[in-house]
Amino acid sequence: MVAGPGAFAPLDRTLALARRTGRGATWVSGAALIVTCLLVSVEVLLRKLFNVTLGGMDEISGYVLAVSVSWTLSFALAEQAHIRIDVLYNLVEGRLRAVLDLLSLVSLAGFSFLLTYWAGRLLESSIDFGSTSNSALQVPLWLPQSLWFGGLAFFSLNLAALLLRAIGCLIAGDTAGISRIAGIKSVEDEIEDQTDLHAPGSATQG
Amino acid sequence: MLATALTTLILLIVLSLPVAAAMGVLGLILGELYSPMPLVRTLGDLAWSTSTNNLLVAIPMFVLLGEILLRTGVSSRMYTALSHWLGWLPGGLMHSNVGTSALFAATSGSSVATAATVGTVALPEVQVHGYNERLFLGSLAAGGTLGILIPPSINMIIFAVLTNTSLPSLYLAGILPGLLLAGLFMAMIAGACILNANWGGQRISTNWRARLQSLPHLLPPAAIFAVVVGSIYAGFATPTEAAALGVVAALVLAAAFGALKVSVLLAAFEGTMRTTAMIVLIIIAAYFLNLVFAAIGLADAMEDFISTLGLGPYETILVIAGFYIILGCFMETLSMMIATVPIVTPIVISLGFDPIWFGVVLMLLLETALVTPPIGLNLFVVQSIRPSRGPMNDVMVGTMPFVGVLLAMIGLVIAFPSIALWLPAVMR
Repeated sequence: MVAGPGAFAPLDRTLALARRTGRGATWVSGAALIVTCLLVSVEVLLRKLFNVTLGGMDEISGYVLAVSVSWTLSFALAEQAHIRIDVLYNLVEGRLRAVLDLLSLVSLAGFSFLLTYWAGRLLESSIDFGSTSNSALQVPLWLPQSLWFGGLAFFSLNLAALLLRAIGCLIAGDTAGISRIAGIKSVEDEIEDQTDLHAPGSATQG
Repeated sequence: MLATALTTLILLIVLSLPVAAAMGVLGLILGELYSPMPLVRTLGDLAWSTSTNNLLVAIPMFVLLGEILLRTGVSSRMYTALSHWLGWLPGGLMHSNVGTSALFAATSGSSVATAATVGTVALPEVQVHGYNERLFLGSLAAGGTLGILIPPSINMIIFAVLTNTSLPSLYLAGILPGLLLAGLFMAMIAGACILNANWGGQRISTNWRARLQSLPHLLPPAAIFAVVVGSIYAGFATPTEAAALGVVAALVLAAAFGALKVSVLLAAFEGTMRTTAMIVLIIIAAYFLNLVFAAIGLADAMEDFISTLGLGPYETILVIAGFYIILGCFMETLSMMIATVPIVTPIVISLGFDPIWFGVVLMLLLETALVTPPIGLNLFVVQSIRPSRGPMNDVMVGTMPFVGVLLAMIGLVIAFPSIALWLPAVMR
């Protein structure tokens, strides 16, 4: 993607792979969400029409949310969907803008590392104590938590790789490269993402 | 401490850090400075309990519901149908803009999606019928904001989670103000077009036959609204279950319109998860920040500070409203809401106001923020889908009268809280 030194080729390949994995995770999450909706609907209808209570879907749908969010954070990152306030950002250019982009990457990575670390500690204690959920289902918590932790770890690794790549750009003096990796989307791009304006009738992109 | 917190937050935001990271970093800094205990240890537990919160599950479901509907072409049929019913009013299709927005808002929880969907269908009509373009653009930008006031609203879900208020009550409380606001928008349009005869464009020709024939096109959104909102108030579904039912209904509709393709679903999945992941990460960071605020006594300090100002309850509310209106000119609404609600809401409650009522006032303030320049997402949305690439200024000027209506509406709800609270009280 960047006509930079070949030393970054393996890193770029890793990032491209991570990107594809992130997109795949989005599709799996979406499918899981649809299945959850179907199951929840069945549960509601059974309860309403036949007075049969299955129970537990509220808990499981919570796990689906946690796991799918953790695994799709990377996709949101690649799509530059994490909101940043760009009032100052739009006023500066070149090197200063690259500094802001780098700062934003460092802060997000720092927060994500901490989150992942403490999520790991939580998982560890769930395994050690054999914790189960406080409900009729008694789900062993390590099960959803390890999937959740995996997603967070994937997000953190992704950020670490991006950070390495950005530092590489910094050393090579490629400020535009940094903004390409960690920049903010233009308003137009963002609106297009949120609304898919060209879709009605002919939704073929995607 | 208050000053440190505020200046650090402003600094981090101005440095354009991602909002989630800015809140997390602020929490860490304040925790290090003022707390005797290592608060960061709570992060794992807190992130887990937040991201498995059952109410938050409704967010991806409602986003997905909107994403699917967006791709079924329901909205353009809806627009044509409403133009037969509302087009005779002075201002013609501008009333369909507001009406379709209100109706679409009843199936969608997002203001941006509402403005974009209705705008895409409506804008080609400006040239055809010779409307005043500015007012027409304004009606789209402002009409779209109804998305977060009329249930289902994603912003209301987040408000309910952050403040521990009842989402069904909030949804009920949003209905009347939503309808009233749509009515006021239309009254303003009609008034403006009566005063300036050439603004209203050519008459839409229609007859009762066409009107009756158009009715079936209003059924899909009505059905989705009935499924989602009806199931909550009939008492057999929680908001999350209602959202799931809505998604299933939308899938059935999409299948009926032949729009249910794999490519459509994958695009919808990507849009849904992009939004959801971003929102949930901000909410996790906000929860952590709130915990820090509470632990170091910053929330109390804030309340003390407000009480030293010696303002009466209504003066305080007006100050808060003014604060949101100014902040809303510069800040993106979702992050503005998540960052401020946990601090502001306890103050409002301590003044003796109802949190449900404040939720509605806040939604109106957020709607205003969506259409106030220089940063108003709905203005950008409408500008970006204009077929005639005129100056951005047109949209801003055309929206101004609607901002006036929004401010009047905020005043009305503050002066007469029962506009919001009557329906929840009756339905209880």
